[in-house]
Amino acid sequence: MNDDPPVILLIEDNPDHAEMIIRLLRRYHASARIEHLSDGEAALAYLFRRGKYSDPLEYPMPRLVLLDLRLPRVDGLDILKQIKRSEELCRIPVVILTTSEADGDIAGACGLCANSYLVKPMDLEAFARMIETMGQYWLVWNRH
Amino acid sequence: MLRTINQKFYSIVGMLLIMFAIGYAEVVYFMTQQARAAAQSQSIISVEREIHGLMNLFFEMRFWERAVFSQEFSNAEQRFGTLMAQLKTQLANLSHGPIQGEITSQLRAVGELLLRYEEDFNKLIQINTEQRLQLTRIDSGYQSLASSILNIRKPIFLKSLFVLTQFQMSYIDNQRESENQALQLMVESLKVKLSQAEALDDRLIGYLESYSRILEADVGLHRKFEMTSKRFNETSTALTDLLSTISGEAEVLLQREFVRAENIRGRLSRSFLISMAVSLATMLLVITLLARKILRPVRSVARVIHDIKSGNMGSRFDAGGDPEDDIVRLGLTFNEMLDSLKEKNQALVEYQNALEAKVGELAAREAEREGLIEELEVKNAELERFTYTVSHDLKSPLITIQGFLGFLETDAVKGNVERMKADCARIKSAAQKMQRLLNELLELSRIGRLINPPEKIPFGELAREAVDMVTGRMGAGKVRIEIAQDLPVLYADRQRIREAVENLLDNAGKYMGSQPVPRIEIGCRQETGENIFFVRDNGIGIDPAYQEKIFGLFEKLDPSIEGTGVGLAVVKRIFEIHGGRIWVESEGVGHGSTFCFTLPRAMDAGIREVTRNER
Repeated sequence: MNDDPPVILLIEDNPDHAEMIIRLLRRYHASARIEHLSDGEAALAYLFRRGKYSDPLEYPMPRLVLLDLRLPRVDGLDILKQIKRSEELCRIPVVILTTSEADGDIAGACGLCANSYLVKPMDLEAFARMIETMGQYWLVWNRH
Repeated sequence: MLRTINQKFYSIVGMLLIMFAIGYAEVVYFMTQQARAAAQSQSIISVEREIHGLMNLFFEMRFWERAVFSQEFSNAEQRFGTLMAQLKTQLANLSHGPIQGEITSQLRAVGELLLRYEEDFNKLIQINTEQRLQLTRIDSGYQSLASSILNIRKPIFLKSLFVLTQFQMSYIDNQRESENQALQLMVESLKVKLSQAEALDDRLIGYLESYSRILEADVGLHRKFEMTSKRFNETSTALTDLLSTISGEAEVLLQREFVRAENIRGRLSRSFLISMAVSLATMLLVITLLARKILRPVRSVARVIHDIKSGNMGSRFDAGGDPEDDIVRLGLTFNEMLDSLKEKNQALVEYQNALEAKVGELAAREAEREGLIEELEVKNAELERFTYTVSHDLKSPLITIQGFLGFLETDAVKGNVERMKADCARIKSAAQKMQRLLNELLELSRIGRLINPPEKIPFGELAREAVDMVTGRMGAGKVRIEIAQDLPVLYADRQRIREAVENLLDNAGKYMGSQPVPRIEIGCRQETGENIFFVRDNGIGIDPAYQEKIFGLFEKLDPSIEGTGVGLAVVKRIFEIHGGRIWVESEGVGHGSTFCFTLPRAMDAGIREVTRNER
């Protein structure tokens, strides 16, 4: 572990949801640096250091990826697949954070080795608790 | 006649056997004839040879006969006897031999003549011996006479004696009767002389008379010899002639025999040729019979079988002939079989056709069923996707509303008015979005269920209506919209097609980007006999990777652009329920996009059953 603040990569197309998640993350994990991208293509560019994301100092590798499934341009499951296939990226925990409770999505994500599958709760309190626990688990307790 | 195969077979075999037998009998007969002729020729040749031998023997015998008389050879008489015995034996053999007719009697005559010849020969020999004895007697008579006369001793008688001696010598040498008479006269004259000289005594007279008698006897003997010799010669001549005749006749006989043998040979070869011709004719007859009665019908049957094998089912036995004939009957039965086969085949073919039709019908039904199932599956999947999307997209604003309500509470406690305002705005926008979503979903579901009756739509006119509708929303004058001339006429649900075109125009307007001269073009092009309508813009364009995706429900390439992501899904749905297609053509970002769509030809032509789409 180094002393740099951990980077959380949030891939979320809905700006309201992104705002909510960012606010909650700041509330419980203030030390983390949050990078928000609203489409799949940009997310892949970031992870594979393409285009404007090629500088590793400016855009360091995330300690955690929060990934929505339904994204413009590139689907969330596609991004998951590419992360888990890449030797460099496969150890980064990918937590699916989505509204979908569809069986197909859950099975697909598990099949592609998602580290966790979380459904956004309707209630803000529950949402907040989930973000807190999730952050604690993946950023503090979990080793990877 | 010859109706059954058995009859045919046995009659042909019988004919062949008879011909064989006749052929063999002929050969045997010819050989026997030839052998007989040869044997006869052989016997005649041997007879001829024997006769020839007989003649030779005879001539040899005559040689020895002369030798006997001339007394040149001491064994002449013995040889003569042997030859005579041989001649007799041969003659006897010949008489008992195989010759017949005239020659036999002639041979008998030869035997008789030969007996006489032998008899005369013996007589001649006897006379000859007697003559020789007589000469001795003459000589002794002369000796006695001469000595008596010499005893007289008178020269006159000597002269006479001398003369007498002369005469006697001449007679002995020549043996002539005249000389004998002359000699006798000399004896008489001597007697006269003696008597004149009175020298004649009794003894002398006795001598003289004895001498005279001897002389006279000699004449008689001589005459007898002459006579016998003459007869002997005649017999010899006759024998010679007869033998010559016989020899000639035998030769003639031989000649005749040769001619006869030649004739027989000629006759035989003629008969042989005739027999061969008859056999050949019979064979030809048999072959013709065979061909007419057996081969032709059999060949016809074989031809029919070959034709049937090579697929000509119409071929039939047609050799004709006696219908009671076994083979013809076989052919006719074959024909009947083929006819019934043809009928059955016909029935079978009909049955097969019916079956095929049924199978086709079933297959068509099955295909239809499968089509329906497929359609259902597609619809089901679509529904699932729809439910999923709807639940996801409806949940999103709910979460937003709930979440920001929570934040709002905290902000209220904290008294952070600015944040409160922002949160309220987010809540409001989420609620509006939700309302819009619900409206559009309602619309989308309506598209699937409700359809107006199709009507003729001049596409140019429809395009203008659509443009009028969207110009306000797009901001008047900003985007230049061009509609091509002479656009074809469609036959479809007018309202829906206009909605689709409006949506496409809205879409084009939204994704113009920072284009300084925004332009939209509505037109139609012909491709493989199909009318392809298009709405072309010079906006931001679409990456080929997303050209399929944009038609999905709630899909938006750019989340920052307003809209729910239902528009293109609605358009797609409209064309789908019309049985048409929609797709986008774009060379990529920055090159503008062309949305193309087609309607089935029936839609172009104006005939379209609506029922199917109402299902």
